[in-house]
Amino acid sequence: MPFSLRADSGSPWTGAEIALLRLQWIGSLEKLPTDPTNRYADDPQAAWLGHRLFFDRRFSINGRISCATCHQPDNNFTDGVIKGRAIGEARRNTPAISGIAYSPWFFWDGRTDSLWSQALEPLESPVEQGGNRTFYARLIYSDPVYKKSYELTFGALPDLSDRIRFPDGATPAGNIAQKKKWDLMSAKDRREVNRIFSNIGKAIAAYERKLLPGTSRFDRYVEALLNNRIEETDATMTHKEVAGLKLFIGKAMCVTCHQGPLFTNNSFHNIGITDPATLKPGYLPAIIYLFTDRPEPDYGRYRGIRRALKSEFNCLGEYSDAQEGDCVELIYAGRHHRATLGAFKVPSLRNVAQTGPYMHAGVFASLEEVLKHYNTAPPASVGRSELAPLNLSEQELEQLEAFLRTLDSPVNAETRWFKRPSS
Amino acid sequence: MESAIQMLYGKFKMARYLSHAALIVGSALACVSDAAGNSWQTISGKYFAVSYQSQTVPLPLNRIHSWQTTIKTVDDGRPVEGAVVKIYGGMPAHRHGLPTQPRTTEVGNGRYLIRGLKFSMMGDWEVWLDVTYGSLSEKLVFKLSL
Ligand code: HEC
Ligand code: HEC
Repeated sequence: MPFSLRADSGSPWTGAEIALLRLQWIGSLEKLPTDPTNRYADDPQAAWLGHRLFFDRRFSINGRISCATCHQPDNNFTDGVIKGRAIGEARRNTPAISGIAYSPWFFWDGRTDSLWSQALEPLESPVEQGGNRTFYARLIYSDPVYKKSYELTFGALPDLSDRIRFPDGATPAGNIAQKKKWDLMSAKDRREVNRIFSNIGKAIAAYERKLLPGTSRFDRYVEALLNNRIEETDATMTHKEVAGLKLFIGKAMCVTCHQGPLFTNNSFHNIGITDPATLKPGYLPAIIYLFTDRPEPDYGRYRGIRRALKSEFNCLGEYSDAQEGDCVELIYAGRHHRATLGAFKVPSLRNVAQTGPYMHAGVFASLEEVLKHYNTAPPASVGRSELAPLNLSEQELEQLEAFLRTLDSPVNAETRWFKRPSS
Repeated sequence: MESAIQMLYGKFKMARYLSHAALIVGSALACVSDAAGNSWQTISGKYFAVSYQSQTVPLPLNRIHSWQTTIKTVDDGRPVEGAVVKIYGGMPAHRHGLPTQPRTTEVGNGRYLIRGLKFSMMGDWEVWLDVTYGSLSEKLVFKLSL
């Protein structure tokens, strides 16, 4: 074994703790697994196209918004505002997306189960990119560069210039008029458009798979520790930061949820975050939501899993390339309110000092506020919080925060993937 | 089963999972814990005795896996065929349920396969089996820690 249980040698760590640190270390991150739902996930041509689509502002109804409007490469692929802003305001905070391809679920509420089906939602969301699937299919068709790249990867496009067969503004996910147009299309053409739409998502996903988390100071510390380079450990993290790390994996129990090299167990938990913009549940009968501007409470994963199960773009659907046996996450996902109500996806903490405001609703501006929340563990207004107050001292909270700042690690990808493509 | 680490660091609430983490990386320090699913575990109720073994050992953290189970009568140890088995559970200390909704299929001769189990956090878990056979019904609770 590379480590031993030692109380000597001045190391602040026990063998068991070192074993735990190793699990959090970037070196323990396994190779990015293949995505059985997307047979183009590792296709270079698909990533080439996806890169362009991610940055292309024409991919919005007003021609001004792209994925990169909110997931800004210079900003760790997030936007620094409480809630994402594009055509309108999104319902939640914009997550940073490096390492996202490791996750089995996407969005704070896990309402999609593949990276490519995730990408389809902002494209059609009226507050994000606001387009619709016939619009996007035609964009690919009418741009010679995109058309060529698309056809090389996914095969020939149908004649999308035919606006009788493929009317503008048709989607089942839109308003009444758009739905009506969609319903008037033939079943075959609807499938055709859905296929192109899902391939757009698959190309974007192939690009997003390039955005991997980099090495942080914490990782260099653990690496030195694992190799018994004690002097190097001392030079890499301060005593205060080490004390914070000890709290993180010990008394403060952060590691129970923020587990593994991405600092997330990719699961859903209720930690009692309430979006102040929403109504509190329980006080008013449901019908009241029809008469107020304030949105209903955010039920999190409870709604998310139900949407994922119904989605035509899920792992089991006809646009997925997976076999049924690949879809265990979806098939066995918990739906019960005890496991899902008010629960949100545990976000990665890599780079966390750079990715505020925090939580699904962007309710905390600073890490200090986040830690205060964990320290007092207020009750949830939706479902039940799983947290118990930590009652840490001021000093301990400062140590924890100092440790979180050692997780800064710029996105690890070839520089070309950060930039708007030149052609 | 107490391992060396647990005894040494028992004062930590999380000593249990520390020792399991050591298990995951194959430390010789912690011996193989029964609770980690390496061997058959049996629990007996009033009517039924249920044994399980994880098909993935040690019990994997945060990964969907299956358990083989056998159900026998407590009275005379006969395999129970045609029982209806429902799975629930969670982490009582954290007040949340299982992250998945496992399903059981009967394999025959009192054997049942539970698919879709997942333990998303280190710590103490409970898996409840609701076994119903004819007019007999009971809930058996497996406690395990990761
Ligand atoms: C309005 C700004 C905005 C735009 C434009 C936008 N996003 Fe997002 N993105 C968000 C927000 C907000 C969320 C979280 C929404 C939620 O969970 O309900 C999110 C979530 C995600 C996630 C899931 C992350 C996770 O942790 O699960 C991915 C991946 C992602 N976006 C990629 C994209 C791609 C690809 C595009 C372009 C097709 C895009 N986004 C366009 C704001 C935006
Ligand atoms: C019970 C599981 C759980 C535990 C334990 C836990 N977290 Fe979290 N953490 C979450 C979840 C879930 C979220 C997102 C919650 C939401 O948005 O509603 C989160 C969010 C965060 C965020 C915000 C990240 C972002 O990008 O918005 C930080 C920072 C954080 N946790 C740090 C910690 C620290 C430090 C500890 C230990 C004191 C800890 N967490 C313990 C589950 C947990």
